[in-house]
Amino acid sequence: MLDAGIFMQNAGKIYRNQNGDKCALRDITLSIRPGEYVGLMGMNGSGKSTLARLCNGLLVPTAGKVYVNGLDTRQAENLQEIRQLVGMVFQNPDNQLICPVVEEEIAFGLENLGLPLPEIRERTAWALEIMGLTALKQHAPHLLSGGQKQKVALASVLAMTPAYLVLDEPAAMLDPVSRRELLQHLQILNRREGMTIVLCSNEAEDFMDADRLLVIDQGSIYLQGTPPEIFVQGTELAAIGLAQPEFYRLRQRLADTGWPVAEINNLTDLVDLICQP
Amino acid sequence: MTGIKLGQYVHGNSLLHRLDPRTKIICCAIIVVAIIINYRWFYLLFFALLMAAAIRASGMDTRFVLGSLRSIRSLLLVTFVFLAVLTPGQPVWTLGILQVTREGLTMGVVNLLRLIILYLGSMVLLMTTSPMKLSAGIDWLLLPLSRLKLPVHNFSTILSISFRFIPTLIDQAIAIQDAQRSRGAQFDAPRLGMRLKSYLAILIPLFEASLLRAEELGEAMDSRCFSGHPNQLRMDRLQFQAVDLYILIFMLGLLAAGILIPILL
Amino acid sequence: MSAIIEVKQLHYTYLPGTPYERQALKNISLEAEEGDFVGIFGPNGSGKSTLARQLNGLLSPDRGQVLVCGQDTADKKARSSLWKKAGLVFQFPEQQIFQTSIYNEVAYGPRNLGLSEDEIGERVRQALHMVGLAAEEMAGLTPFSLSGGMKRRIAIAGLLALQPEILILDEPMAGLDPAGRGMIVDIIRQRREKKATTLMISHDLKEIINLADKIAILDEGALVFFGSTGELLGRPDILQRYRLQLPVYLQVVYALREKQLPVKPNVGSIEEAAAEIIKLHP
Repeated sequence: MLDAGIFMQNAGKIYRNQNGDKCALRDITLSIRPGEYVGLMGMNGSGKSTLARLCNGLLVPTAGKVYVNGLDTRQAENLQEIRQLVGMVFQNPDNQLICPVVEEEIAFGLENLGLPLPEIRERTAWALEIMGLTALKQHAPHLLSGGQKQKVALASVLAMTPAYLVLDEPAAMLDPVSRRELLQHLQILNRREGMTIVLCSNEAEDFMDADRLLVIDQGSIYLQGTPPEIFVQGTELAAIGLAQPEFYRLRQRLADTGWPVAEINNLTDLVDLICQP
Repeated sequence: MTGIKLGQYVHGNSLLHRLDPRTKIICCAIIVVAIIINYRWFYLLFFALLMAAAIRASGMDTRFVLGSLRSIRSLLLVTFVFLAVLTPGQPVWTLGILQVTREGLTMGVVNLLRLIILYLGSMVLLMTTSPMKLSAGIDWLLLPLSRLKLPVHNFSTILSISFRFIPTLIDQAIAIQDAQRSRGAQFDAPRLGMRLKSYLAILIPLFEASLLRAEELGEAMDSRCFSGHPNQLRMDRLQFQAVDLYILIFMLGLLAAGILIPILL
Repeated sequence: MSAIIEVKQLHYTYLPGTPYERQALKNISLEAEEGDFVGIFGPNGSGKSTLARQLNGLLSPDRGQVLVCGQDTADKKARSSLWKKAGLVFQFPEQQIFQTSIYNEVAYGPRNLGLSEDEIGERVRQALHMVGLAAEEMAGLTPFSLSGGMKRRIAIAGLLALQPEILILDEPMAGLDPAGRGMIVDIIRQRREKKATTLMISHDLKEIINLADKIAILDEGALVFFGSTGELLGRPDILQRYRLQLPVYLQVVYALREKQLPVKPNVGSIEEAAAEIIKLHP
């Protein structure tokens, strides 16, 4: 299969330990095509983090297959190329930054690829610029805020010019302002640069910009669709412990009494609708 | 966050700060060789004064650093006394079975000076060289070893990660200590047993957090194709200048003088 | 009813006399009555955590006065035993877990109080119950193998077991999923019912807007607002400057009022807001 994209065919992942086997994922079949913005929503322990790590070969499936641009993740010789294609940002800002200086952190991946110094400089400067970090390039990471650290982590992945960007709950440990900033950066990367984005989170509000949303529960895909299609399903989401976005809960109340809110997906539209005589 | 600690890098713009870290490391090596092979007290005194001058030139508080010699005073005292008493030679003073010899006094002073020079020299190195520059310098100097297929780059990655996380670990330890205090842990209890138990309440969580950190860092490094390549960007920032060459020539000259003096005298 | 916490012109500076000197708190004055729930907001680095540490005796004022449960924190002896009355739950409290069984972890605080084993057992059971865990199942398990959310609950239970008169929570919801956040709100609600004082440092106004008796906002060490939730809602300039987001239903109500529609401003839930909106077009 040589199509561009991340493909999973009946992928499953079982962890074996002394207490018995734990099935983290079962029979996952999905495709992520270039340019898409896909959301993976699920409670902690639902399997979404495992799914994210299947995308870049950090974990390989115990059943089924995972392909990235035609490369099988189970073959070790493919991993270097796969990890250049699929960049990954993790949840804990501190535990991703290994260099004592921001600029070196961004160059880290490029050094690993053995690129020549002039190219490293160029790409590092570009990544700093695109994330608005140029002023911080000589700073030590332990003096940065959580939001800034995550931006550095993202910049260091972007410097490797991946085709796909997978983020495992990148905003979970950030304050609301930094969270929104990070999501805005993702939106710009997707719309302007055409970056394929796979975002894992348990916050429904994080997925407002996504094209497609998959809800994961107990290792399987429970719901699929566009964010508005998923968000109206309040009962189904509550059944697995997820919260519907507030806006949709309000919208549902109005819909229940016959209000024509089917096409309304944001606050401004709702206010306009209410104001109409 | 703690205040200025002895041996910690202090930002500055003196000549010593601007020297290439490789120069400083090589000079330290030259000094070590020079003071081992030569035992003339005037030679060593010259070096000791040179170190003091270096501290002055680096813009640091000379009294503070020299005063810190007090922290190794026990070592200095023990060294002096042992050598004074145990070196065979012409007795100068006798106390019971202990004999202080003239040679012993000389050796005592000589080794006292050696220790002082080593102490001050390492202070100058650590306080004028930032951790990154230091590891870049070590990286470069160990580069030839990588031809022998030794994992030199991994070693410098280890150094680099350690430097990066020391402030974080300190902050985390302080936070955990505060948290345990808030649950009744006594860190200045009179009984040693209680104090030890309280310190365990910091060490275990810190250890646990470090294990988790190691796992997550490993994932992050693998995701960016970690392969132990040299850090070109960091080493590129090392700039060998004319002043570095002059200093190296000067130090080599001192070393040569140290070798020649015994022959000539 | 006298105030259980009184802060009068509190000043505090970190590392005075060094190059790292930083004034963390500037002239803070506020108070809390017994049974109040106070929300503390402000940007990162505004001094919220420093204020929390002043209230449980870890720190004492450089200038000004802090009285907790009637005791002046300037007195070293008072400070050293203040932890029994003012329990402080730190950020990411799961980082402080160090015992090999959940029971011992939650019992650590009570043991330091010098209680009998029976009393400790009862407190552990109650504390675990408050965080939604059953003591019979969990007591013997080791905490290290659990998920982050579980560890958080256990760490909080460890402080609840002290049964402090004042509970101070420093960003307890950071990194928690919706179920976990609900657990925190439940704890606060239960404490309010029992007239136990609670303070919470947070970034999320939405979760507590209906529960808070008073709100304090710090900025660069100074107190820029201290008053009731109603007073805060009347200060849109502050809400905007500190990017405090209101619940969506309130945002809708305020937007409608701006357009001169007759909706009442003090709605407390989505249902009430929906009811108001429906009244506009019956």
